[in-house]
Amino acid sequence: MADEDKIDLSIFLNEYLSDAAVGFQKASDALLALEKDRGRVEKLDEVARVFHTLKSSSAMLGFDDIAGLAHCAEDILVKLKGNQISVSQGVIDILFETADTLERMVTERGEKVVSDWGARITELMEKIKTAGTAQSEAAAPVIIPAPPPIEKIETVRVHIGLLDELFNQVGELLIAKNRLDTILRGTGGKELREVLATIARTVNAIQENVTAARLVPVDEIFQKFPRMVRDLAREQRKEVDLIMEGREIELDKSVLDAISEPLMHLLRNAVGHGIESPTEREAQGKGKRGTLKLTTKRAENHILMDVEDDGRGIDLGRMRETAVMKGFIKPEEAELISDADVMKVLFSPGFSSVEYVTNLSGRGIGLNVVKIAARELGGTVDVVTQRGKGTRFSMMLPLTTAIVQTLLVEVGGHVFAIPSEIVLETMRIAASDIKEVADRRIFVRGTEVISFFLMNDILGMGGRHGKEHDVVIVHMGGKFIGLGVDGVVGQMDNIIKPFDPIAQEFKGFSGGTILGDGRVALLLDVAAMFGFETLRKERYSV
Amino acid sequence: MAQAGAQAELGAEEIEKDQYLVFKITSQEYAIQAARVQEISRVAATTNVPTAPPYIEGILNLRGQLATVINFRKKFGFDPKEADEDTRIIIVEHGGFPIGVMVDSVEEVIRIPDDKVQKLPEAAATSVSREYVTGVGMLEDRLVVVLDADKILTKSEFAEAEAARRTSGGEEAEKTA
Repeated sequence: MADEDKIDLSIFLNEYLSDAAVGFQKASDALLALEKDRGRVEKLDEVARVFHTLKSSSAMLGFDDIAGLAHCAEDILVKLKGNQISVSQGVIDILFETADTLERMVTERGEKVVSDWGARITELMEKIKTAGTAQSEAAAPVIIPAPPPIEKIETVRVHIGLLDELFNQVGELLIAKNRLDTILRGTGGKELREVLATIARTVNAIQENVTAARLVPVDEIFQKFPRMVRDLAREQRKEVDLIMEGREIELDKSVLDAISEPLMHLLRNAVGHGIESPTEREAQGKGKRGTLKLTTKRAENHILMDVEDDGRGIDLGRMRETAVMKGFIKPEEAELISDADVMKVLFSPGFSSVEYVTNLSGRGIGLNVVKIAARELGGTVDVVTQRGKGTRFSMMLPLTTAIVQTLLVEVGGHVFAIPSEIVLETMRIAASDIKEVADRRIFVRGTEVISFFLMNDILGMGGRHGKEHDVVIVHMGGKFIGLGVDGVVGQMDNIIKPFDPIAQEFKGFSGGTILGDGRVALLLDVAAMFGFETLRKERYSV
Repeated sequence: MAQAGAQAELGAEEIEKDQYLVFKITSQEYAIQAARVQEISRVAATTNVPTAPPYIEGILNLRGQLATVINFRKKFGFDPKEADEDTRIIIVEHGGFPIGVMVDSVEEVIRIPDDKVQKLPEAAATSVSREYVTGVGMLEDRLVVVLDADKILTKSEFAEAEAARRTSGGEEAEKTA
């Protein structure tokens, strides 16, 4: 045991930090549950366990200030359990405060900056003492636990940067493989083809594994939300229950990172402007407490995320007026344009000034940001609302970024790519089967009427206008459209490369991909085509 | 990747502010700050973007990264010229992405001290619109037009080009101001 002292304990720091982070989350969850229902005293045990573990591990690493405060907090819990003091809001707030302070102290240890928390600790300890009836004791000597038994290592910690690099390298491998395919097409013997097939299989397997390694449960980010919503609601004197479903669903880390800020925007908006104050709700015959629901579902190759509140909804009449006033909708169109199209204006850049925010129950804030984030990931965002009943924002996101299977099509002598996952099928139809109805072209597939767009026209390119059209039927959010192309070239697994700021201005395309011969194929911005169909005035962008 | 990044950073540090890359359009020499230049590339096949303004040469595959290439001649209204063996694409970093500028030829890297760069006289007529010009570098036997790389890249005629395309474009064109 004497040797124990000589061991450099700093190697345990990472483990300590991640354990502590998990602990704080548990404590926060338990306190939230307790706050909601003070009868659930079993939650006190969970909180106590966290503080106890923290006390022990902090003492082991010599973080005595943390251990001391954790000990005090544990003390108050003992009294709560022993009914020496009762569970009041005041006590819960102190516990929250203590947990927050401890978390900040731990974070600092991780960053190797240690400031003096003495004053803060004294203040908190004082609060803890006055909250209880009995006097709090001074920090007792801390027991150092026996070192844990050595177990076989099943997992390793990998820095996300390394995974990113691997991911990019797999992408480059894929490009090289595609290139090799192109060079050797039609040449070489059986042996060479076999080797190529093996390489192809292996590259695919590596790609799948690397992709899988980057998946993390959405809860990594969602676990912060209950606390955030609680604090926001308290700040605004509202009562909000946050219900989260599908927390275990896994998503690519980079997608999750990119979406966390927009999600926070939506939650903030819902609490701030969607959900009414308790008195307002009661006046409308609703329950005092508002419900905010964050649902995550997996559908085929997509993740669907809904943020739904049962608040006041968006005043479409007012929205329409403002949209006209701001010039987003022409006056003569105002009456004709559908509610769904009016709502699309919400996501327009510039539709977010404070003035409109107040007029529109604040729904303008950051919504353009949400749209941009979804779009950059190759996803979409939609909104439905019902006056007095609530609002639901729905995001559709890809499971992973970068490597996707694309369908290559030819239009006007150029090759363009369409993500395969949104392609329902390709078919050939006679030009005479395409009918002009009002200002749009349609055709019938089975029992469905589908809008038809000739890509040559949309992109302002010439092309064949033969007796037949190759049509790619794409779907998004339950809607279908048919894209007329000159021909279908084939399918290819590839990485989607982002556009630079200059290319981002080009309409009709959302990125590029590198073909087997090293040339760039542009990715058709199909999401915008859907917008184009519903909101024609803005051309390609919704 | 990380290594290359470190080198590029080091390079940027070493290149001083008064060093310029000189390139030619017709017989006139132009210069941009050398520190902004990532590399110089020979002409390679670019992918045409049908909805882009005419001065966009296309999208280049720069070792796996996409780079928009601007045709200097077309952007500034010079007569078009077929690419030949002197034609180069200057790759400039912009917003974390490489952007290409296609020029007739790249000459050299020279030092033009600040006091040798004179403001463009009010009355001077230049083939490149004066808003892109930082000044004129007066060297012993030559006169070099010093350009603002950022303006060349960011200040686009998109608005106008877009408007022109819209009014002459398809059925869905909207005449928005």
